Amino acid sequence: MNEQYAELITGFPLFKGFTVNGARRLLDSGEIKEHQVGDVLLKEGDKADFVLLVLSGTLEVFVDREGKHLVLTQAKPGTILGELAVLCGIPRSASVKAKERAAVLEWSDEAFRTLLLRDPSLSQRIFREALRTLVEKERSLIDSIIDAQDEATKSYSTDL
Amino acid sequence: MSFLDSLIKDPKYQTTEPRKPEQVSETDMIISPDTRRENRIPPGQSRTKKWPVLDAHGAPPIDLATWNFEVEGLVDKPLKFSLDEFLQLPTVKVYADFHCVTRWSRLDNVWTGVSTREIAKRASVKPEAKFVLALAYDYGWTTNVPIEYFLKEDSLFGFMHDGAPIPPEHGGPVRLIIPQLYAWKSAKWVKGVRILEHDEAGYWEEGGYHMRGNPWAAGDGERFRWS
Repeated sequence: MNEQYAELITGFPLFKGFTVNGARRLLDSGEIKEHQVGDVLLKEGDKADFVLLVLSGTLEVFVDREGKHLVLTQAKPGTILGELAVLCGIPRSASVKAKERAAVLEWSDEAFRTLLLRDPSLSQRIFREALRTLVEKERSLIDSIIDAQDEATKSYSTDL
Repeated sequence: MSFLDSLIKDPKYQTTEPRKPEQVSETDMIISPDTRRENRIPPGQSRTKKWPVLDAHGAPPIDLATWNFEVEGLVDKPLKFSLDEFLQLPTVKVYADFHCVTRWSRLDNVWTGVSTREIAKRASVKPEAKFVLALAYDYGWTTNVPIEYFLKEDSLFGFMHDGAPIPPEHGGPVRLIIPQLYAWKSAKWVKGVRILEHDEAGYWEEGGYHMRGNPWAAGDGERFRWS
């Protein structure tokens, strides 16, 4: 099974250039976990002491607010989840559950930091990806604020 | 001891500006050609006066009494040396700069050791050889080097740096030195080389690092295979 996942990892854009041996080292430094539909892998507010790499299946990243279930994104194979909370030492900012049967590679906080410290290329890739995701979220937030303001202006005009 | 004191008392800390190759007085010194460049710092690099320590696993335990060095693969005469035998081989001195993929460059290094050409000659490397896989004592660590870089005049198996034995944290007792490539190709704790016809990714190369690693390549140098 590990061999199949090693092959799979070499095809993920984040790990471009990795050989099967290189991917095997990533697998050896963590633990593969399989999840059924509905399993919760990360819970908002929990202490962040591991990082996930989605190997197969789709995960749903969500928050629950005032009785509403808000889906932030769907994480496909090749996506890393939970790394910012681990690196920043803050609680989980969202929850993650399995939308379908899924397998993930779970790195402990220490194993993940060791990977990044030892390998400047890998840390550059992971930071770049994490920052890109943050910038996209910020853009999306700005768009939402503008939309909300437009809506507010529209309703105000109608009231006149 | 203050931080500044510990830096200045570090025997590897450089307190003077790097010499120019023409200021190197030893007549038998091999001058690495990259030291003759007008700008000796490759793109994306900065000069360090220190000698930082970076490696995958830390220094491995090495018993000097059982240390040996082997040459295998595409050679007519496979070789095996004990440390005593290795230190009896003819030596060369090389004046070279040293460029790490993590973006520091240490200029003005003098390496003493056995020329890679000397080893290749003794082993009678076969004409079909195109690549070299350097093998190291640290838990199966390897790195791959095109044979034309391995056989550059300034490439050597060093055992002295700036007149002192290479310390364990910097790869002693013997370290492969390939000044014209990024420093990860200069395998610390080298235990031998395998001569190959086809390229075979080494440890960092399996994680997407460049198969050649030329710091002077256009752009940002040949660091990774993904950027």
